[in-house]
Amino acid sequence: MSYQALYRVWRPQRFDEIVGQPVITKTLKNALITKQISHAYLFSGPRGTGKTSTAKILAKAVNCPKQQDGEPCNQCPICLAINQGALNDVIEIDAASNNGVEEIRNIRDKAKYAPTEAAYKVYIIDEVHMLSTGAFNALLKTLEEPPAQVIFILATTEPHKLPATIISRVQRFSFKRISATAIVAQLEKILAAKQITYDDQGLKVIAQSAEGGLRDALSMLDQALAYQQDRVTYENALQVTGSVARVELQNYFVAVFRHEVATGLAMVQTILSQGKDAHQFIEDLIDYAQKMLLYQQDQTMIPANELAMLGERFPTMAQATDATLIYQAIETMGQVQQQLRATYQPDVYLELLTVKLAHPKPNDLVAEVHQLQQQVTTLQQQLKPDLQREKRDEQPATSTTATPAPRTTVSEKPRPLKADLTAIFQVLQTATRKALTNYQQHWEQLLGSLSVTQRAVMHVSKPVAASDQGVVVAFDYDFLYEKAGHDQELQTALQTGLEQVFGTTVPLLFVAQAEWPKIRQEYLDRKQPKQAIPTTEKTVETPLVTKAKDLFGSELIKIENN
Amino acid sequence: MKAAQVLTAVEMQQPELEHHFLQVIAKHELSHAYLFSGTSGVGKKNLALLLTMRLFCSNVQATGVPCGKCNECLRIAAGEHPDVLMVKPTGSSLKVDQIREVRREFSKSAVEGQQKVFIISEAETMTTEAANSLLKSLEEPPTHVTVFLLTNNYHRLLPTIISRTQVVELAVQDQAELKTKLKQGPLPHSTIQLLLNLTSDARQIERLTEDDWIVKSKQGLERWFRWLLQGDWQAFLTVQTNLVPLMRDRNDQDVTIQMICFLFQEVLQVKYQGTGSEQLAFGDDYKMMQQAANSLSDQQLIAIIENVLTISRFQQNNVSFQNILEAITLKSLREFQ
Ligand SMILES: [Zn+2]
Ligand SMILES: [Zn+2]
Repeated sequence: MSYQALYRVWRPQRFDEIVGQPVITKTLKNALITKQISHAYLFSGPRGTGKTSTAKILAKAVNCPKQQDGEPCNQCPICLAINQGALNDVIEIDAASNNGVEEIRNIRDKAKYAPTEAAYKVYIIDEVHMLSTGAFNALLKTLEEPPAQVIFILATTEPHKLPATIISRVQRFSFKRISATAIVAQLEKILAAKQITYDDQGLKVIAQSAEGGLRDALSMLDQALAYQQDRVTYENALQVTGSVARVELQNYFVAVFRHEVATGLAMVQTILSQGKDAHQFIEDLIDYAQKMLLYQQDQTMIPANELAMLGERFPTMAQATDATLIYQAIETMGQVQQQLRATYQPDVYLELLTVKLAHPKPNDLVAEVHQLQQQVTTLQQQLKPDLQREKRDEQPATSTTATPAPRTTVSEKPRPLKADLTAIFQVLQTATRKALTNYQQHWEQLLGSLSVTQRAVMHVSKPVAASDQGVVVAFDYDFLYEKAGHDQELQTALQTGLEQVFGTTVPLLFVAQAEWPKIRQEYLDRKQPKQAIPTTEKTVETPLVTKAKDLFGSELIKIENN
Repeated sequence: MKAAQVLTAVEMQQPELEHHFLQVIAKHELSHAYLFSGTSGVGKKNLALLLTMRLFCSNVQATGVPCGKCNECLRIAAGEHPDVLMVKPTGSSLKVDQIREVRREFSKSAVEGQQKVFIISEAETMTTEAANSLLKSLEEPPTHVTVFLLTNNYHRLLPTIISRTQVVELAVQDQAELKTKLKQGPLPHSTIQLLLNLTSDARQIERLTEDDWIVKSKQGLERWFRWLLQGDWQAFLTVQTNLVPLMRDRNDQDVTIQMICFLFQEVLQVKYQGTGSEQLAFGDDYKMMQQAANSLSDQQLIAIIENVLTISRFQQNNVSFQNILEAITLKSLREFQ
């Protein structure tokens, strides 16, 4: 009596029928044609991207006596038996339920025996990341001494949970999310075969909502067809995916970008009362915002029929809105989306999101920079004489145009932070290019060990010189430099991070990027008499410059004439 | 619950979905796995029971509705049918052993007829192991099996589970009837407003109104909020003296956190939408709400609500409830002072 779900009916039986993984299927077919079969494969990738289907096709293809161009025939007794799950030599194991050592040992013992009916015994271990540590060890032993005529295919959505020792012993294929275009094409194919008509936009909504998983898309198509059998409409697609019409998204953005919190809140309340899914709503909003960015960059990126769907105000809004604002909105929405997963109260989060989008946080980086710039302009006007003097005092100033935050004049700042020149000079004396590269390469990783707010402070920082005595870290923005310098908690966290990432703790010496060339110059001046600095415009490689390049990397060295 | 009650309940709560699914069954197009998602009291379990009754009923009505009187219907509603397996969490989660049991049952043939139905409640509480164990069964279920997974938030399930089911979201239906019924009782308007915000589940309402619990906790929260508003440390003490003693069980704690969220949500609504006192659950002292709306900046309000939400999540990690409320109070005080 049960209805066969589309994703089961349309399960691919040949490599050519696998959607959206052309590189993988081609590689596998070539391996089959040239008879270079590996004894162990790892198929990793998001759900619904074809891992298990590919594994089964591979099991058929290696065993099919009528295999042609790497494809199984799907007609011989072997192929048919595998399709029915009735061939004893092709064994599917669900690691989630059989995750113990015993089960894997059992496999090891049985794998020793030659296949009975087919050429190869094929073990397909699904959800392999669920194996216990003991079971992984047992599996590793088998992979180390693979029995002849046995192939292992491991499949997982979470490859990072596998021990490196296992990964190094298998041939790995990473399945990609399937593009919306490829999903739409497959949906069209199925609907054509079923002689069902559809709205293009309806299929697009489904494909988008499937997030790269064909199985998700087919489940949603199933649902849409359950509502209306003879046609897939845009409305049905919106309904089954819980999506909101694009025009409503447009209206929402218009409201929040105009700071109309009340309108935005009312829209959110209506959308939720219609039983729409909060998670999907944010997903749709993010997608819409990304389209705005895309359109800003290149109008031709969005085809005319899709443009029409985005609402009549889309083009103007996309062009009139500052890209940084859109980026910021996308980030905010992403954060809220994460929080939504764990809550029963999506409405609070959506209301919060609305207020946030309508009133972008002034202490967000972009806004803060804007604010500071404004402050600077005002101060410059008020304190013209002072500032002029200060500028003169600072000669020789660097040629950088970075915001000259007048540290001495902004009253609410805590005591201005002075770079520790003695310590910095010590580092410079022993600095090496190698040490610097090492810190530069793993800087992101170090930042990754910090909390979100700490990362926000540090994300404009970069190591500019390093030795085993310490690392000099420059900050693009003065105010973040100040913040970091005064934040004891952050510095402790950085030390912990250093130990984790580099295995050592060394002092981190902060400097403002704007100050850095000056400090560097001062160091070089002290080391060598002034006349060594070339006085012509031409760049002459003096030993000093060479040493400097060695220390700082050539991209950072600019020779300045005083 | 009796079979007839199930039928009436679904007819009242989810008439559209009932109609839809009865048609699907009539056309023999029922899929093998469904995920019913919706807040508590929205009628997930009853819908699943009704559809199960329809599948087994020996006397299906001309309208396509199960009779609710035959032996099959009665046993299903009573949870006594051998081919209908109902699973719910033991303790706080659905464990892998329970799912293994389901899998074993899956593979056995039906005791009486040709089909089996599994109804798994609170599916979001499945441990990762349990969920992974269920995956395979959902992928290739035997043809005679139908699975209904019930959850109050399907995003908390593994994506791989979700994609193997058809997700059906059950929206809260019109609460008008419930409201009329509550209005006949002794509860003040604002309390009814609060109750309807919290749930549509009659049993839950009964529990919350027992011994005036909801009235007392609402008062306790309002007192707490008044101290907060003044930036007074008394707010901190109120947690221990007024709020914590009221908690009878985990459910009360969850509801209290929810109420705190509503409270600040309403401040937000007063601030931006000028929502009037009669539409609010915490509108009795409207001056208090206005004062909060006016004195808090966007950033402060956002910070407070985010703190409440973030801190309340620790409840899932068994942090003591008093600690949670105190942490919320401390963080909020900082914004008010
Ligand atoms: Zn064949
Ligand atoms: Zn009956």
